[in-house]
Amino acid sequence: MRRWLAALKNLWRGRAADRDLEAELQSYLDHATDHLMQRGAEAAEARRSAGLELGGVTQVAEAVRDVRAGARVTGWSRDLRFAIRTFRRTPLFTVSAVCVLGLGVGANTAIFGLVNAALLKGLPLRDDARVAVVWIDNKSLGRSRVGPMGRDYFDWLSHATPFDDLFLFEHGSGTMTGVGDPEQVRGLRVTTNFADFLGVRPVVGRTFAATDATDNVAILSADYWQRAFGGDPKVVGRSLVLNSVSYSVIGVVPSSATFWYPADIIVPWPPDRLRTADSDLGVFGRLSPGVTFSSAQQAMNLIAADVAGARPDRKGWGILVVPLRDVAVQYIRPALLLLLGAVGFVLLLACANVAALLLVRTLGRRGEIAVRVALGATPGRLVQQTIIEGVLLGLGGGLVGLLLGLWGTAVLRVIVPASIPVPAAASQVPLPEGEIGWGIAALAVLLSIAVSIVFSLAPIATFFGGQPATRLNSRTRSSAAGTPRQRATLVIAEAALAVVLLTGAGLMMRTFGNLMRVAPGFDPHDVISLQLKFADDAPTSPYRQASGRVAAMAQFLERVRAIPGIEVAAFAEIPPMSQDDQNTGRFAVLDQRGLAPGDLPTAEFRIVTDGYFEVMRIPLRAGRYLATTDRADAESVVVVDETLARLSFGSTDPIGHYLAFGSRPSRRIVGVVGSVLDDGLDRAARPTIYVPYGQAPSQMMSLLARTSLPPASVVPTIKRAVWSVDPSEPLFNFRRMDDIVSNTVSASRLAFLMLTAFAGLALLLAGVGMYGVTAYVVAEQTREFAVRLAIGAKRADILWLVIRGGLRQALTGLGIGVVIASVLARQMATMLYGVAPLDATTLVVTALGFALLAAIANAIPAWRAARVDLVRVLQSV
Amino acid sequence: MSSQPTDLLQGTLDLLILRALLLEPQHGWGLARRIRQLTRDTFDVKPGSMFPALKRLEEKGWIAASWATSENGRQAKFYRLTRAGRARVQDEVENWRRVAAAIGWAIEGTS
Repeated sequence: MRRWLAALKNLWRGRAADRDLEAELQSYLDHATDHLMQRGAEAAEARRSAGLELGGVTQVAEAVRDVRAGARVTGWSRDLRFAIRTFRRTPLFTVSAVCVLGLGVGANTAIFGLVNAALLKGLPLRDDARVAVVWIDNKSLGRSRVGPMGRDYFDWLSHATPFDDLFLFEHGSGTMTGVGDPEQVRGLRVTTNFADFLGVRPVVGRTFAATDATDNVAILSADYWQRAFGGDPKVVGRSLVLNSVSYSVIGVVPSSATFWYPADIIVPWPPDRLRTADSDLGVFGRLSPGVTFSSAQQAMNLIAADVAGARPDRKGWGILVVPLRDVAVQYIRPALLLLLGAVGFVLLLACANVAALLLVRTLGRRGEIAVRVALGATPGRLVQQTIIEGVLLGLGGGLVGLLLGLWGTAVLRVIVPASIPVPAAASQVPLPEGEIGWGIAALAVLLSIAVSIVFSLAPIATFFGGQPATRLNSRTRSSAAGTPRQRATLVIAEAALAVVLLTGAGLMMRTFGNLMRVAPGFDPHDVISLQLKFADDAPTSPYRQASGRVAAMAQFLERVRAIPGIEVAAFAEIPPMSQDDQNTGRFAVLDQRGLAPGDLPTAEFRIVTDGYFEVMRIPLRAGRYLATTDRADAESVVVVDETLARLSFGSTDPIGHYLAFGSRPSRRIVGVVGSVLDDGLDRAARPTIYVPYGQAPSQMMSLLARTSLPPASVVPTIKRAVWSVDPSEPLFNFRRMDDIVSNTVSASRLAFLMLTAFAGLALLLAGVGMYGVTAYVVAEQTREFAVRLAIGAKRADILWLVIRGGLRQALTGLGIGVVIASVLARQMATMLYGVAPLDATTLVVTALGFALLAAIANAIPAWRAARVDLVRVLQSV
Repeated sequence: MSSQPTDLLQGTLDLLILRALLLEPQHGWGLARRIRQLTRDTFDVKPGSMFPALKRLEEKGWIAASWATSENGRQAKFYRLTRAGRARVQDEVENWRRVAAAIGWAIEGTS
């Protein structure tokens, strides 16, 4: 213990102890001198003799230091100081190595932060790995992943389901009055097992009890609580008016509780209303113990068959059981995995680069190291020194990487949208934001240090196993052949890795370019969208009548169109590509005889007001657009799109034909318009039927306005215009059509942007790496080149000699890279659009581009080598 | 902490230093002179051995040091025995007697 303290003290007070020792030795000299002078010696003579007797202050001091406790630790700290000095002597090396490591680690940290949040961390609900989303689907109707009706749920419950518990919810929005301005809030209607199923604890108050089902009680989300009530804990017991119904607040829950939908207010579902609910219900089920997702699917298949047998309207409908975790990330997972793979390659490339830097540096220091080995430095001592250097370098790289990773995470938050639309499922999936916690940060730094130590030690290994004398000699001989194999391996590896990344980026670049060239069938530029929902909960609401809604809508349009700067405006139930909702159904062409009902084709139904095609600039192909005159009291008409015209009419002109929809009145086709890619740019258009709002007035509509005014100024104007008709009508969910379109390609864009960035990084690293190694070889062989020149070689020969050496390795790497890339490209086939995984153009362009880079990286040092100053070099031998 | 038997030569020097300090605290140069006197000029301990030995004994906790004014008015670092050091002198002395006797027998008992 005592020694430990002493060691610590010595380490801590090393300098003070040194000064003390110096003073003590001086005191010894003085005493010896005094003694000699007392014996009659001259002062100078006495001092000289005393000095001789002492035998050198430094040597004595060194001997004492070796005895001091903690001499070993001091050895470490001396190595540390030595390492820092070494790094400071070679700033270029140090900065490049730290930056290269930092880039590799930073890119990985950022991507891993995102992948961890999206794929690994799980969702914030109890036992989330055992929760499934339960949907119904009907393939012949072309309906996938639809929420069931209330009746379906009760039918399921009459069977033995494979679920422990089922949780039902309905998304909605309502008008909140009585708390400031009328505000549209997002609501959830839930079964009362809400808190228990999700594992939610209230922040304030309580959650629902089973007895609350029929009461008008409400739970607020923490965000809304802060926004509307300033986080006042006395909110419990207050009453709110939502859609003219009064609710009493019983508690507040964290906003993450409803992670799949950012609800402001949560209310319970009275069982009788649940039974009659015919809308798209959300259903989560927690698997019973011992049940797997696939056995649950089988069990639900049997139930679906049973239900269809009992209820003819459910014929053809199946039940889907999908793990919740899969649903949340299904559409971004391929992109994330692609990025994770790509960023791994970036790290390998960074490692190869650092290894090359360290190798070159070690070769440059092999004189120093050989001397140390010759003087008796044990492998242990050298390894210790190298490990310390590796730790320092890794720490530096790790910290730079962490900073870059944090920055990258911020960049990713901008590139990755908060939610992406799910094709053909009428829903948006919220994406978790990437974040770097302490765990990932520590992992990043440790990774950096580990990499750095490994690649620091590798070149050192070559210094053992030979005679020190030959190592010493090799310093003066011109041979750069110390480790030609290692060098060649590194260059080849760098080239191969870079080519793989370049190919991936090339494929994504072409994919994204192809997507961007796809015309969506409408013009989203300068079109903004605001949602509106007629609140008709109050029994006296005029919106309960279709005519009331139609009249209000006409007035809204009139006021909005009068706003200066708004070119055209219209309402649509489902804006194109928004996946806001699904409205699909069967239709029959009236004069098509002999079709069995089950074989009727399906189409997308789009309820739009007049002016819709003008706002979206959807071209008219035949007949006319919809007009204000297409009212309830006029003839029932529709406009169809080209896809429907082609599939159902072929070369016949559809204008004037009638379409029938079950029991509803048939409608005459008055126009044919261009097709819209509603499911995404990479998916085919589906047959679409446009129905005039005047003849099918739905509740939830989106205003679409074409304007070049900045939204910040025009949105309030639009709101005022609508409020001048009905001051309690909120407008919400402001979006740009451009954003709606761009969100549909966000996975491709993310992959394209990141892969391009990684490929750029790869080019830089590989270029610098190849240049560095060749430049080093040239520096080592300068004397050889001079001799060659002296005995008659031409400068062009030297140039070619150098280029050939470096280029051969680069091209070998290129070949290997192309082979690896063509294998891996197949794995990213799902991400590609309009380009084959083995796209010849991409591969050739990539290969040529890389070969050019390799040629330049080798030509610069080669050119220098060829200009070598013969006389000076030979004189310096 | 360590209780390894000190090796012979080093042990001799340590014993001499501890024995010399048994009389009174002393500084480095004075200690060298004292040892010369005590051993009748047989041992002339050079500073290169003396100071590392002092450091070693200090870190073992057998002696302690402090700065004070020497007999000729100069500042010097004085070493004195600690309580542990005082006890150690007895051990070392007995140890040395055993070793010396053993070596004596070895040399004389040649026949």
